[in-house]
Amino acid sequence: MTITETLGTWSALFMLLAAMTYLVAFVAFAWDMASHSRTLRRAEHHSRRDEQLVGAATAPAQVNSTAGTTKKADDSRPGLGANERGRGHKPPTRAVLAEHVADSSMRYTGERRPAARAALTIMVLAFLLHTAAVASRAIAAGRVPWGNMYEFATTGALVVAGVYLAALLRRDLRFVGTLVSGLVVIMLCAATIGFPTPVGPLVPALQSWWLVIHVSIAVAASGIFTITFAMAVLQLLQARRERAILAGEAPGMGFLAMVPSSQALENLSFRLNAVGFVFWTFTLAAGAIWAEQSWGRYWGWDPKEVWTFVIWVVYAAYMHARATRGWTGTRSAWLSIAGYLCVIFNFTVVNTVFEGLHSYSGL
Amino acid sequence: MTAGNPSRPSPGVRKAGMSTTASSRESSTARGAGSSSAAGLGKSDVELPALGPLGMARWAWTQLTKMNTALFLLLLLAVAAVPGSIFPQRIQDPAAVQDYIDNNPALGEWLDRVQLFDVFSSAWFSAIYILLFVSLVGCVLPRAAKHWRAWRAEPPRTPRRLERLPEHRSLALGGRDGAGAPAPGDVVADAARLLRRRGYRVAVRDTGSAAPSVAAERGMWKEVGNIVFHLALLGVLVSVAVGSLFGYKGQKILVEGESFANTLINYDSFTPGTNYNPDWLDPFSVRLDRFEAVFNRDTTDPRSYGAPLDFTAEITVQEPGAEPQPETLKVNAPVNVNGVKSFLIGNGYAPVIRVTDGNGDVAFEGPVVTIPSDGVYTSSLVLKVPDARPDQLGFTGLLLPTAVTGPDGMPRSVDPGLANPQLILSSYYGDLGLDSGVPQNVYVLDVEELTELNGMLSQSGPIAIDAANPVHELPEGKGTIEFLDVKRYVGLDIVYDPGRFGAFISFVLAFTGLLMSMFISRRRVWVRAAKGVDEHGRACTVLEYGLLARGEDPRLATEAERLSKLFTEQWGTADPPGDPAAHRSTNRAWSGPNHD
Amino acid sequence: MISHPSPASRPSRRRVLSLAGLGVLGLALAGCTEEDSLAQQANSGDQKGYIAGDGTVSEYPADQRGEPVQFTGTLFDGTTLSAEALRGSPALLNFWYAGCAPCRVEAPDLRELAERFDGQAAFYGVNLRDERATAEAFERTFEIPYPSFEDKDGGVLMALSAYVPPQAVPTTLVLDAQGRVAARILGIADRSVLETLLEDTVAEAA
Repeated sequence: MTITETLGTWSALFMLLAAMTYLVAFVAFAWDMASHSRTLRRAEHHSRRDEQLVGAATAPAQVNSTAGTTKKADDSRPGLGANERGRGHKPPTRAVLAEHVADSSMRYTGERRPAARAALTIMVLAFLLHTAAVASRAIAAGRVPWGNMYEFATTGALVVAGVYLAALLRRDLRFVGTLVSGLVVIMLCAATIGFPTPVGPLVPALQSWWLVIHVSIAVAASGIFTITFAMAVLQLLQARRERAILAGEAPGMGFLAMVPSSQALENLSFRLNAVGFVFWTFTLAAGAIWAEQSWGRYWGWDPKEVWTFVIWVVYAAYMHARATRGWTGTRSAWLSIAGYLCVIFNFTVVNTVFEGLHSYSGL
Repeated sequence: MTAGNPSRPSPGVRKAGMSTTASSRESSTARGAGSSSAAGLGKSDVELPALGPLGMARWAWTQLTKMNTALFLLLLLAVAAVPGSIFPQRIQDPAAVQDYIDNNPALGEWLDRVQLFDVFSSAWFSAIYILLFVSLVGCVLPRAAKHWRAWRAEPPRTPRRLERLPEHRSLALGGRDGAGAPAPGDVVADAARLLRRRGYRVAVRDTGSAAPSVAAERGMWKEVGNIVFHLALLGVLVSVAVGSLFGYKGQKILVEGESFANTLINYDSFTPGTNYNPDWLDPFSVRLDRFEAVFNRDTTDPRSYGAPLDFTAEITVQEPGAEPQPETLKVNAPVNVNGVKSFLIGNGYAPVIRVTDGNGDVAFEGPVVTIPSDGVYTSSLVLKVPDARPDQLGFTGLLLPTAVTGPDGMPRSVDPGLANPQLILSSYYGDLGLDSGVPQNVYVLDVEELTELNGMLSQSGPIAIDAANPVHELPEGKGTIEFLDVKRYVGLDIVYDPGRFGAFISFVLAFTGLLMSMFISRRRVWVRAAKGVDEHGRACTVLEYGLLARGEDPRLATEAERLSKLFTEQWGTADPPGDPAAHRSTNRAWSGPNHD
Repeated sequence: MISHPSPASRPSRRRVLSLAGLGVLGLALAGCTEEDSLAQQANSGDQKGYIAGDGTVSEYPADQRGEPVQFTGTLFDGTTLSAEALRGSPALLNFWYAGCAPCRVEAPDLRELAERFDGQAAFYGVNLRDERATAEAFERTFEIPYPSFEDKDGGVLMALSAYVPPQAVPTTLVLDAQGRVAARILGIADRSVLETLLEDTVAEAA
C-alpha cells in the first residue's frame, strides 16, 4: 500500500468515526433540548405561582431570573430588539411572549446545562475527527478536497460544523445544535453512501486556481445556508407556538422554550443570509470568470449555471422580502427554506441527473 | 432594494423626523409598522385612478416600481429559469434539441412553439427580466435622486424626545467638587468635533438656546452602494446584450498538422451575434502542430489509472503580415488573438484511412475524426466515400485505442492510450444521398437506403483492422479499406465577446456595491446639552444623546458604547484627579427610561 | 430570388443597423429580430460540419471593385501558382471539398461552364479539406477539367479573405482581367446567374 492509499483509507475511517461522533452529539443535543425545556417549563410554572403570590410584574427574561444571574438592566434594554425589523410584536405582546421563549440577545447566561455541555464537547471532538478526515483526503489527493461530489459534501459538512462552532463562541446558539449536528450527519451519510469516490487526480478541466476560489466560497455559502435553513425551520415552529401562546392555547413543543423568539431568529438568520448571499454572488461571478477561461463564455445557461442563478434570485428575493410589507416573518422564512431546497437540488439532482458541463461528480 | 436598505423605523421613531427619507417604495413598506401614515397610503393604493390613459400609465408605473411587484418578478424569474435546466437548450446544444424533437415529435413541436428550447431568449423570459429591470430603474433612479438631495441637505433636525430612540444615553458633566459645568454650547461644539472625527457629517443646531444640539449622520455610502449594485446589474445586462449582438462563437475540429483560417468558410459551425457581420472576422490562422494527452500511469490505484491528467495543444498562430507565433493551448488557458479567444474544448483520435474503390482507384485518403464516448476513448467513426466507383461506400464503427478481446470474443478498449489501435467497422454500399445537396450530419450514416457489406450480424462479419492486419478486402469486389495511422485532433471553440470586459467591470462594481450596502451601517446621532442637575442634586450640564440606525444594524448598541467612552474621555479629563468614583458617576449617570 | 446588394451601400447599412440594434437592445434580446440564415444553421443542430450559403450573389460594378487580389498557392499536381499568373483574362475560383453536399450539386454545372468559357476565363478550384487522393476521386467522378489548389493550410483562403471573404461552402469568386473580385456567390451557384456573371466579365475584358 502506498502512502496515498493509506491516507485515503485513514480518511475514510476518520470520516466514519466523525459521522458516528456527530450522531452522538446529535443525541446529546436532543437530550439537552428535552431536559432543559423541562427545566424551563418547571421554572415557568414556579414563576407564575410567584407572580400570583406577589402580584408583581413579569420579569423581562425568565431564564435569567431563574438562573439567578446578573445584568437585569442590560437585559431589559431593548438591545437587538430595538433594531429589529420585520413582523414585530407590540411591546405588551412581546412581554407576554418573553415568558415562553429564550432571550433574544442569545448571550450565554451561565446556567447549568450538562447535556448541552456534553453535546458541545462531543461535537468539537467530531469536528476534529472530521477535519483530520478531510485533511488526510486532501493530502492523499495532493490538492484541495473539493474535486468531486463526495469531497464537496464532506468539506461542506465540515464548514457547516465549523461555522456553527465559531458562532457558538459569540452567541448561545446551542438550541440549533440538534438540527445542525443532524444535518451534518445526513451530509456525511449522503456523501459516503450516495457518492462514494476513491481518491483520484483532477481532470484537466478542474486544474485551475479557480477551483480553489469558486468552490471554496460555494462550500462556505452552502454551509451558511444550511445553518439559516435550520434557523428558518425553528422560526416557523416558534412563530406557530407564539400564535398559540397569544391565543391562550397550550403552546406545545416545549423544547422551543429554549429557542429565542421567532423575530430574533429571523433577525439573526437574515444577517447570516446576507453574508451567504454575498458569498453566493461571489461564487456565481467567480464561476463565470472561470467558465470564461475554460469554456469560452462566462455564462451559457448550463443546468448548473441555471440553478446557481435560481438560488441567487431566490436569496435576492429573500433579501428584498425583508423590506417588503407582508413578506417578513413566516413568508421570508419560507423563502429561506426554498432557497436552501434549491441549494440541495443543485447539489444532488442537477449534478447527477442533468447533463451539463459541470459533470464532475465522479460517479 | 437590497437587503436592509429601505429602513422601516419603528412607529415612535417616525414621529422623530425620520419620515423625511421615506421614498415611495419605502413608504409602501413602512406601512407594516402600523404608523399613523399607513392608513393614508393604503387608501391611495386601493383607489382606482379616474384619470384616463395618462393616469392609468402613472398607476401602472407606480404598481411596477413597487417592492411587491419587484419581489414577485424576482420569484417569477427564478421559476421561469427552471425549464431551461430541464429541457435541452439551443444555446447549449442545438443537436440535443433536434434529437429531443425527433424523439418526441408531438410534444417537441409544442414545446418549441412556447420557446422551451430557447428559454433564455424567449419572449416570456425576456418580458420578465425586462419588467424587472424597468422596475429596478424606476425604483433606483428616484432613490438616487433622493439620496443626492439627502446628502446635500443637512442631517435631519434633532428629535424633541431623544429617549425614544433605540439607543439613548446621558451623561452628567461637571458640577461635582465645585467644578463648574461646561457651557452647553461648548459641549455641543466639542461633541460635533468628536463626531466629525468619527466620520459623521454634523450640523450644530439651536446654538445660543438653552438646549443646543448637534445632528450627525454617517454611512451615506451604504445607499450609494445599493444604487451602484443595482445599476451595475443593469450594466451586466447591457454587456451581455453587447456580447450577443456583436460577438460570435464558432467550432472547428483540427487534426494534427491541419490549419484553420478564421473565415466563415472554414468553420464547422458558427453562431453569430444578432447583429454580427461575418465580414468583420479578424483574419488569422491557427495550425495544430501537436496535441499531447497525459493519462494517469500511476499503477498503485487501479481506479484512477488511465484518468486524464493533462491536455496540451501546441499551435502556431499566424496573423497576416506577421511572423508565425508558437503558442500553447490548454484546457484552462485559452489563446487570445486580438480579443478572439480560442479554447481547447475537446480532443480525440482521427485514424488515417485509405479506401480503394471497386475500380481500383483510391477514392478516399485522410484522417477521419471520431467521437470518443467514454473514458477509454472508445470512439465512434463514420466515413462516407461518395467518390467510390462503381458504388459509393459508407463505413460506421468504432476505433478502439487499446483493443483487447474479452472472454466473450468481443474486442473493447481498456485504455485511452494508443497501445493497440483497432478499427471495428461495418461497411455499406449504395447512394449516400450527398449528391442531392441535402446537408447531412457528418457523424451519422443513414443506412436505410444502403446495402450492408460487412456487419456484426452479416455473413462476412465486421471489418477488424489494426497495425498487424491493416488491410481489409470488401466483399463483392467493392474495394479495400486500409488503416494507415492514427492522428489526434482537438475541438476548438473560437469566441469573440466584446461584452466580456464590460460584464467584468459591471460585476466588480456590483460586488463592491453589494458589500457597501450590506456592511456599511447608516446611523444618525443627535446630541443635546442642557443645564440640569445630577443624581446628587448638583448643578451640571446634562449631555443627552440618541442613536438611530437606518436598516439592519446589530452594532448600534456597540456604537453607543463607543460614543459614551469617547465623550467620557473628552470631559472626563475635567474630573478632579484621584476621584475615580466621580468618573464612574459621570459615565451613564442615569440610564434612560426603558423604552417601548 | 437573388439579391444584388451593392457592396458600397452594404457597410453603411450595417452600421445603421448596428446603431439601431443598440437602441433596441431589449427587443433584440427578446428574440424579436428575424433569424438570418447563419443563426438558423447554428440553431438547427444538424452537425453537417460546414457553413452553407443561401446562394446570395454580390456583384461589384467595375468602378467599385477593390484592389487586385494577391495570393500564392500550390496545385495538387505540385505546381506553384500566384494571382499574377491569372491576370489578363477573367478567372473563377471555386472553394470546395469532396464531402460537401452542395459542392457535389454544382460540380456538373461548373464543368459545363468551364468547357463553355474555355480560353476566355480560367477556372480553378480551391480545396479546403481533402488530401490529394480524395480530391482526385471527386475530380474523376465529376470529370472536372480544371485544377485545384491544395489549401488545407488555408493560405489561399487567408489571402483572399482580405478582399472579399468567402463565407460558405461552396463559395465562387469571379475575378476580372485585372485580378479584382467582380462577383461572389455564397452557396450553390445558380448556373444561369454564374453564366451571366462570367459573360459580363469576359465582355468587359474584351
